[in-house]
Amino acid sequence: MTAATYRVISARVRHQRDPLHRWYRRNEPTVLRVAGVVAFFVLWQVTSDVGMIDKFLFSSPRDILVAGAHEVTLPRFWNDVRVSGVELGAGTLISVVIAVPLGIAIGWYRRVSLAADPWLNFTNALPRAALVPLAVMWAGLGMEMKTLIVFLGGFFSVLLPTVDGVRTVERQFVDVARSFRGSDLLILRSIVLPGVVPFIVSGLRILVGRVLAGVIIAEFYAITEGLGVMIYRAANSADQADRMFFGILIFTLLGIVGYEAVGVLDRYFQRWRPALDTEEA
Amino acid sequence: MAELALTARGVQMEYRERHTTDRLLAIENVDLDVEEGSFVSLLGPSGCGKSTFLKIVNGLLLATAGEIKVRRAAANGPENAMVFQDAALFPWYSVIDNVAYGLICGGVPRGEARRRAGPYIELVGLKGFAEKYPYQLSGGMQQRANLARALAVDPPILLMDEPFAALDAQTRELMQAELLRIWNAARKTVLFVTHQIDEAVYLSDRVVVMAARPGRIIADVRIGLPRPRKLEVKRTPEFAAYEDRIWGLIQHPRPTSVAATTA
Amino acid sequence: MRRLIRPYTTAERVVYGLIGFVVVVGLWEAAVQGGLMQRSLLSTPSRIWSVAVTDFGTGVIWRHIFVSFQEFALGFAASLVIGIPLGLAIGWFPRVDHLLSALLAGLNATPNVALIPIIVVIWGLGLESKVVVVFLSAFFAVMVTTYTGIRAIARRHLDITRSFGGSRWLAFRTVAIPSTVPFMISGTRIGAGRALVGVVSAEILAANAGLGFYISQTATFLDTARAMLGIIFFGIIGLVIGEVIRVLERRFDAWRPQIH
Repeated sequence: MTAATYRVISARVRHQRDPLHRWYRRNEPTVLRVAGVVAFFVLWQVTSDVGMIDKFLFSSPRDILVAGAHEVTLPRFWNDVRVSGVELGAGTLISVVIAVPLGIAIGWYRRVSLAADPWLNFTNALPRAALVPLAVMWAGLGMEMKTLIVFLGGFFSVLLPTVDGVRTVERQFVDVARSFRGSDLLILRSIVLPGVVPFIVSGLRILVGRVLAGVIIAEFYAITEGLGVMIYRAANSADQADRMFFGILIFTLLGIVGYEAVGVLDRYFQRWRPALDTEEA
Repeated sequence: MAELALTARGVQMEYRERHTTDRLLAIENVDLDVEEGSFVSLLGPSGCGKSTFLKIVNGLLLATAGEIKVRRAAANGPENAMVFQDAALFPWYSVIDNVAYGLICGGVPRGEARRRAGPYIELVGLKGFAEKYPYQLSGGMQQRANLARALAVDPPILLMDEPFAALDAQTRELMQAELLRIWNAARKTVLFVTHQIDEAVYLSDRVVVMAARPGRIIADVRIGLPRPRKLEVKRTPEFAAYEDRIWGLIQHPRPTSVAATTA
Repeated sequence: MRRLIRPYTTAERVVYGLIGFVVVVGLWEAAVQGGLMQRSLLSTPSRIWSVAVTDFGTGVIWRHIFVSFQEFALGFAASLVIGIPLGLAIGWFPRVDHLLSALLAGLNATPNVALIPIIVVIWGLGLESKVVVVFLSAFFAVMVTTYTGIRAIARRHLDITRSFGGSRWLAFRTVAIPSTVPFMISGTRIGAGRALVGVVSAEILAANAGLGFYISQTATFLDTARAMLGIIFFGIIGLVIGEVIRVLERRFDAWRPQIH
């Protein structure tokens, strides 16, 4: 017999680190996250101060905050907020209120949903921005036109997922209800409606981005009143980059809040999620 | 008097929750000897630490205490190779590329690895399927390829982690018989993890019975059934006697661990 | 009216789809001819068709299409070249992820449209500014989907490489990249859609050529038919790009990780 050599597999050696080391290892993700954000703003501020980037074009965090603090004291600012707010709020609300029932109706009736399919796919693939000039032709340059653009953005974001959700209803659930002689109304209420909710919520996530983009592009196109107009005017004036970024910041915050709100809804309805998911990012 | 392929002493695996002092002993204390060329099963319910122990031997996990000695392979190759349970083949590689993968990980150039993999594909009964893709193979065939990949690196010890768990009952039985055929041809040391009693008794020379909470060895049963074993042996009274004995051990586990050594 | 208890057959889809298409077009034409709907609202299918024949024939519209195509192609290509490697890096190296993710989330929440004025101020009305807009529009979607793909890699697959002693670099080449390919393709599809939106937005607001410019120009002169032509063309392009990439997506669907 040959003299065999062996390899030893040892256990893990636990080093006794000092508390600071251990704390860092445990909290590294958070530390890096904070560091990343802080570093970004510091870098921005510093390069602006030393003149490495053009102050007129890129501003700096401090200037933006100063400009913002000044803006919120002006009544003009709050008027703009009101205008954009109404356009956003009304447009979004009306779009959801119409799109959800309509989507359920279209998805429910098989032939209708198949017939509507090419049009739904078409309007989904079409960038809504292309409709802005038409909207101006129809509704002029005022708040109605902008609300209409917001409405169109929100409507198509929710309509297609809703139709999809109704169509994807789990066959097994429907079979169970049928075997117990459930009526169509019962199926609708107890299976389809809960099943379509996750799809609607995913549509809402898309809606957030679309309605914000809608209000901005509409206001850019027809430069009357609103936060978008504030951004546009500031961008085109010399030395108003800080005001412009402040306006952009407001929309960024709105976006973050919007996505968070949808996230909350998503988690709330998580327990209704059917076993098979067919959603898309 | 046989050479030992693997010797484990005092192996322990402890999990500690991050911000508390809770300790979970996945493995309390394992003392295990495995003879060269023998087929040893680790049998027990979920949570008894059998898969964990296998992963420690393979190097995927580090134990928190204890020591394992494994026999070195010839020519500095790997000492062991693992046959995984599921999702074990890469869908983007053909069968031969999958089987060659273990060699490639060891640094063998691709062409050479494919060449060496070829005979193993035949050995496991997949002749002619070398260029097919996993989605074209049935579950049983995929596990054959899985086995071929482990065999291709020519390890002294073969580690098998419930390889037939995802197969239906008939395929599972066929694969058990196939495994014995291949094992006879390759004569490796096998450490086989399962929770099915009949599988362990049919395949092994020794069944090491484990219990959970904490994970520990509670018995070491030598299976005296003669080899080669056909599937029919499962219907014999001797086989049933072993099954009953092991079932009794599992139902009433000893609270303390037992050493499954040859000493 | 049937319920949804049978899966659709292809024949059904085609037949009803065609019916739906024809019915709507027919009703549209009839509504305008019959005086129910104003011609200036959406024009009519027949009128749109005739201006299409004219403008495509004289080549007027081709110039605009070519400009839009250039902006799209350059911006989109740039978004892929930068977005995919960045997505891979962020997904593969957890430290990079932690460092950058909060910032990128903030950037994502900003509507790209809001940046158009400043981009135009910096880069003017020509090709460059549009390419930047298209890049920004598509970049994030491409990067995030790639990142999701890396995150979705089956742990078992990585274990296999480690089990056989392979290096992390080998795992990246032989496991991470192939496993992420389906996600990269999805990202390309979503990114292409966003890129198209970028082209349209930028051209509508600040351009002197391009299909979006064509739409806004003709709408300003109340030429509804031509504006509709441009809109329809964009819609068709969006559909075609989406479908083509979807075919590619289905081809690689088998590479998606089945379990985690």
